[in-house]
Amino acid sequence: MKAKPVLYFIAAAAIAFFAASYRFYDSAHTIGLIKASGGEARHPIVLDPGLDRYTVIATASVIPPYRGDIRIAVEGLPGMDWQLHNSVPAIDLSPWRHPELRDNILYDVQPKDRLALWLVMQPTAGAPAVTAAPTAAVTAAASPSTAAGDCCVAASPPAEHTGHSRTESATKATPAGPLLAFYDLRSGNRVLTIPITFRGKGGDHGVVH
Amino acid sequence: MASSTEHHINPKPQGFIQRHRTAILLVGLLLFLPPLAIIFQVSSGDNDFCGTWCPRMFFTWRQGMSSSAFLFGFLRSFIGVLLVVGILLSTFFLGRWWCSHLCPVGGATELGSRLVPQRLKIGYASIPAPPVRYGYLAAYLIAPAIGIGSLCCNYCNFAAVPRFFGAMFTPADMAYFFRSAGLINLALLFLLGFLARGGRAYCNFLCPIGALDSLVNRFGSKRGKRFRVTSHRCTGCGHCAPVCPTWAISMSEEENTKAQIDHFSCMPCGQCEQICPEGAIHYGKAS
Repeated sequence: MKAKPVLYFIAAAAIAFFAASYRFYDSAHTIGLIKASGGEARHPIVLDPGLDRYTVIATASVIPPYRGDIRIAVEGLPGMDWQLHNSVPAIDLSPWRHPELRDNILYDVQPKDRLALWLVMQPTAGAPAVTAAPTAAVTAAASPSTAAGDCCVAASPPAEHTGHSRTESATKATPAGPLLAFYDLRSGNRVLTIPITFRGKGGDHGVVH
Repeated sequence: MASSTEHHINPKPQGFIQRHRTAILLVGLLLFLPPLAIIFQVSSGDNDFCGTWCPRMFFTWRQGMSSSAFLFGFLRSFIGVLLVVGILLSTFFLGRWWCSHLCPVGGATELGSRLVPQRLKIGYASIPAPPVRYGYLAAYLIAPAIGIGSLCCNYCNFAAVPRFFGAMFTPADMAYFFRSAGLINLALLFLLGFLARGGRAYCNFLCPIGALDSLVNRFGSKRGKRFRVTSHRCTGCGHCAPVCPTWAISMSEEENTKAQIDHFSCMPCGQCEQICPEGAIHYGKAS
């Protein structure tokens, strides 16, 4: 057997294994299930603190019988500007129906719909930097006061940031940490909650996808 | 060896499909890529390969995955599964026509590379493609199974190329590139695609479908139709090797130098057939 092909195979495999194992924490792919009774995130969002841009793709399936309009908000990150983009055809020639996203509200979501949303977050100029937080489970259990002093991880009223009522946000037991939250527009109930975790040094490596 | 810029024409005319390969690739781009992506829109309502059309994700086994979860991947990507089965079956009997004529992703990089001046292009022909390709494929399949991560989705030209075209039209597609992994995908798309001589280095090195397809192409080469060199006609002029986009042609080192086609890399683009002045390269079964 010639040495050159073997060396190339080993080198290619080594680089590819490294690429597979290394994750960039300026982006994440989260997968969730939207349910009328409160959905669940199968992959939470794990990011590095202190970066100047974050990109998250959030995909979700709608579990029957849920249908309705859904308001989407990033909560607990007051120092962060965010934009939401729906993944729809550039020129819509589809005979299939797609939920329409306007002003962070998805209209006409129906059972078995599959949603794909891109969330781009950027720290607001002059806002305190996002710092590392405990894991999602810990942040969820923490009281607002434990984290609010340090920065924005666990903190402030979503009303300031989203332009919607805080009471609506509080209709279900609310994890204290930052989240990407999906609310049924009519009832105000949360139909999907996706925790956003900023990992610390040497901390959580998140979920690879 | 003759310069690739010299023009030689096969005295035997090529068939319709070979003569119109560029037009077929362009139609593929219109059907599969934004802004139209008609095939996806009409068939499943998807925008691109990510979804029921994904031809890659269903064969990645992740550590801790149950059999039912793995089978669910097949169901979720059922059109992608059918696509891959169809590709592999057709390749066994007829060669890699999907890669050469139909794949909109490889087609996009090849057509894009034709717009780049030769002096700016990067030649990868000195790198033996099969060992790199199968090293990549090994990591692609094994890494998720042993739980150290995944190449699937993170580094995927089936995701990057449609979004490259879609980014001009939708902010969602633009957002794909606003992150480290997106920028790496963009760099790979240019370095191994648009700027590569022949425009097929990505296909040749980093495409898992291409890797499986080339395996089937090699193992079916005795029974199926392939491009072959008629030894007694080949003069060993070497005009064919530089035009091969997958650098599948080498010249034998024997006294009577002849062209040899490596079916681990060959796709039936027909460029060698077109340029051979002796008509020594033809498409057919082994005699």
